[in-house]
Amino acid sequence: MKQARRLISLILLIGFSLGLLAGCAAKLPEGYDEAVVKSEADKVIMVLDARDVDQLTAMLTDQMKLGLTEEVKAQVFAILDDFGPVQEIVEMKTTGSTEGEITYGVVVARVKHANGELTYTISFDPQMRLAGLFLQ
Amino acid sequence: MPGEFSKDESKTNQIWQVMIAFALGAVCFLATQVFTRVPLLGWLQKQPIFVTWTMSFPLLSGVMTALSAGVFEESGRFAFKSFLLKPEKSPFWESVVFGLGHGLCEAVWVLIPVFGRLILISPGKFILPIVERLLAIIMHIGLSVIVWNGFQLNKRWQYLLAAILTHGLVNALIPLAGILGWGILQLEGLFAGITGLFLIYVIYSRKYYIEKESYETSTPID
Repeated sequence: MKQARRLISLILLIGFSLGLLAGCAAKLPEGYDEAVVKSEADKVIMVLDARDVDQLTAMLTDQMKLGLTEEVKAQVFAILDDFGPVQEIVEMKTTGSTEGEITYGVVVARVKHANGELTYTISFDPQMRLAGLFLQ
Repeated sequence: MPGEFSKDESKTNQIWQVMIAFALGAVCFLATQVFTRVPLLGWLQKQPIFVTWTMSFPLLSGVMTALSAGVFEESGRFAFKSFLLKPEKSPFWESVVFGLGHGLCEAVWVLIPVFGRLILISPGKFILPIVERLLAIIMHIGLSVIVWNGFQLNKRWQYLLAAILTHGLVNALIPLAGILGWGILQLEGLFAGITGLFLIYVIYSRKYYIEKESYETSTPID
């Protein structure tokens, strides 16, 4: 029983440490303004909801313009059609991500749709162009 | 002849025991992964705080996710052995068969969706996933033997912790490989080496059970 208690204490300690780490996370990289990043992410969600392809294309980085082909757009819109129109943005968290020499500002948003919830991961480059979009 | 009857009965009994241990291994995988850990991870991956944390600490989150497989699966093995596979001191084959059931069930669960896609893309790409699953099955047998050894040697909590850490460390090689830029063949080669160590450990562990087995076989049946 003494060993069992020790093991439970260890598991609790790991859990507590993870909780602390979670608190340490979610920092936007230098040069990004949280309010601006969140507002741009809000705009992306609304543009997608409106299926406004022109406005969406105008927001993209050159690399995203190449990657977001008609086929990919059709897949994204098919997912959005299944989930229905946006009801509300439930929660938004921000963080950063570095790939190569570029550090991106990232917003993760939990969005309530008419038929369920989707989590959007939206990345912006330092010029606030849409550099990544992931739905799950 | 009464002697032959009891011999047949004992054989049938043992076949049943083997089948039960195999089935429980498979059920253990379903209970600890398919019905608990996988849905829990799926839920967590939709929580913004978790997603931002994984992006902030990719290696740590990868290692923790890997370790969670160890916590769930090894605790499951431990619970199944504690409550469903009696007596505590068991024959050696029990851990091997349990691990085989666990590993094969995982292989079926992992490979079925992959096969569907690979048939369309390239039939030649079957080989690597199959080899990887074979290695994983041997590792599951090794991990079951670690947990069972704890019961055999009356050090169940220490061996449970060892199994969790071993499982976690092996799985942690996957995110580590991604960060270090290892290729798939390098990673599989490393897995093959680790599987070799598991095999040696399994063979070495037989000595903890030999006394009991020789006792069983020396018991007159006729």
